[in-house]
Amino acid sequence: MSGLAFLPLAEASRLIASKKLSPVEYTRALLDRIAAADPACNAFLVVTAERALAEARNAEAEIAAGRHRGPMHGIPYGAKDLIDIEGMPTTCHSKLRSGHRAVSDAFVIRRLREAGAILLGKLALHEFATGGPAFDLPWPPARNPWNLDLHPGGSSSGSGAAVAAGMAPASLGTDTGGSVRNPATCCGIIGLKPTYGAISVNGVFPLAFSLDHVGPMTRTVEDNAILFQAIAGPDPDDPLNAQRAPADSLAALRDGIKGLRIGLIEHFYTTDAEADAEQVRGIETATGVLRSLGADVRAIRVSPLPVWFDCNRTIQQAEAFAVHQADMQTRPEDYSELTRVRVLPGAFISSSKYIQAQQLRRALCAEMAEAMRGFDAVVTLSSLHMPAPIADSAAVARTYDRQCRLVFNVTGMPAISVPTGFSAAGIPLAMQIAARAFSEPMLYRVAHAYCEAAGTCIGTDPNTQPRLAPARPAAAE
Amino acid sequence: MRAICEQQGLQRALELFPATIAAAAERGLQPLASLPGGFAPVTAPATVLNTARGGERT
Repeated sequence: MSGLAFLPLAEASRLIASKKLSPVEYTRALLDRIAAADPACNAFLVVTAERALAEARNAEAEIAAGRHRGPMHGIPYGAKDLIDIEGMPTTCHSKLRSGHRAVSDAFVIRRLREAGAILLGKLALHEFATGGPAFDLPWPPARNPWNLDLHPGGSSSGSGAAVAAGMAPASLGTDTGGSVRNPATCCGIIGLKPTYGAISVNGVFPLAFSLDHVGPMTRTVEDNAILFQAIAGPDPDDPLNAQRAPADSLAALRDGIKGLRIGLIEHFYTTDAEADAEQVRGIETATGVLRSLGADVRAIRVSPLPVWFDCNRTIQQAEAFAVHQADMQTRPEDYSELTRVRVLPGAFISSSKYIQAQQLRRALCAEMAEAMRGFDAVVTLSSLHMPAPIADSAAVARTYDRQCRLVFNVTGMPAISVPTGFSAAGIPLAMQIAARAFSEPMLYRVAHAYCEAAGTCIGTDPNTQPRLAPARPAAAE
Repeated sequence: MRAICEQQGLQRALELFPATIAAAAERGLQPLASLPGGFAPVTAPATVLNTARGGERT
């Protein structure tokens, strides 16, 4: 079967269940794709080829014997390398983790193992999910498959690049201030930050415990919902987990959005901060699509974007420093400079400022709940800018805080990045859709309706796929 | 800044990366800015985030 690299997860799942696609053939095709594409993308820190083929053979034998476990059975995936996998190092893309071996699987890995999914390998990230893209680390940073000179977004950089480049139909990332949705935005894929507590973070190296989420990354909305259903749910061993089973995100996926009320948080990118004109055009076109599908889209207002930044960054830096204090005391030189820059401010945040940020968080949550009264979902931009050149540290630094994603880490609401088209230079544009806590089914319903109508997702048509090349030289005037 | 570094055990980091520490201090010591109207830290308890209640207190 040709074209397996970009086969949607849902389609592969149906073919595997009906024994028309061999998990072994599928896994081999993806390993071949990794061998061809990853030298350019640097998405994988390690490829677990032998393990993947063994798991694929097991899946094939079970399915042949009539023991099909469900939609993730025989489906390959990759995991951001701050998620524990028994017997493997969890490097966090850092020199500091040299010699580490995980003694057990993270909850999400265990769930996927039980579902019969196949691990392809572990994926590049910003060091400890914060310090990147950086060139002073043991591994190079992942690159953007749409233009290898550009940052693929982070911190789940490899998770985004691998899925966009057809090396895996799905991956796991983590999101504390936007780290699933940023690479999803930059790489033109679907990335979900779920409701806080909906997916266990047990066995995942923390960045900031009160803001951390694990999230699925895929090329289509349906694929994302399938992976979410497989990994969400109660975990008695995770004190941050909400201990509730997820509502069925697939049942209403194709119900359409006619009659839904959608709030548009426009002031984030029109008055609170300057946004790239092409990103703005992308969301304007997208809201037109939502209206054409019968949704009632109206502007709503919440606190200005800088207030959300203060709240998120204060909490994140204080909590991250608590995690890293001991190593920052004894071996600060082993971190990348960017990690030092992003973690060390936490040493200077007073206890009163941290508590005030948590108090502010409560006020902002209440404010968002009030603004959403009568609305089914909200939309806003994801990135305010286009991806920066990866080797231009000043440009990367300038764009680091130019985003609207961390708003939903503050509220804990689920938010998803969906592609809205392409810039004139052929780089993906994106918006976010968010909904009330534990309303992932609504989120997926809106996202699916939009993506089906707009046709903005990477698919099996080569014209929708990244070309894994550096920028074209500028044409002569 | 030096006193806080000593309190936090960051003397080595200060010695090796003085500019990074200075920038970190400047950022970390800034007060929360642009608070929403009507926000009163004295009367708004800090609580554990409970998404099941729309972010309200546990």
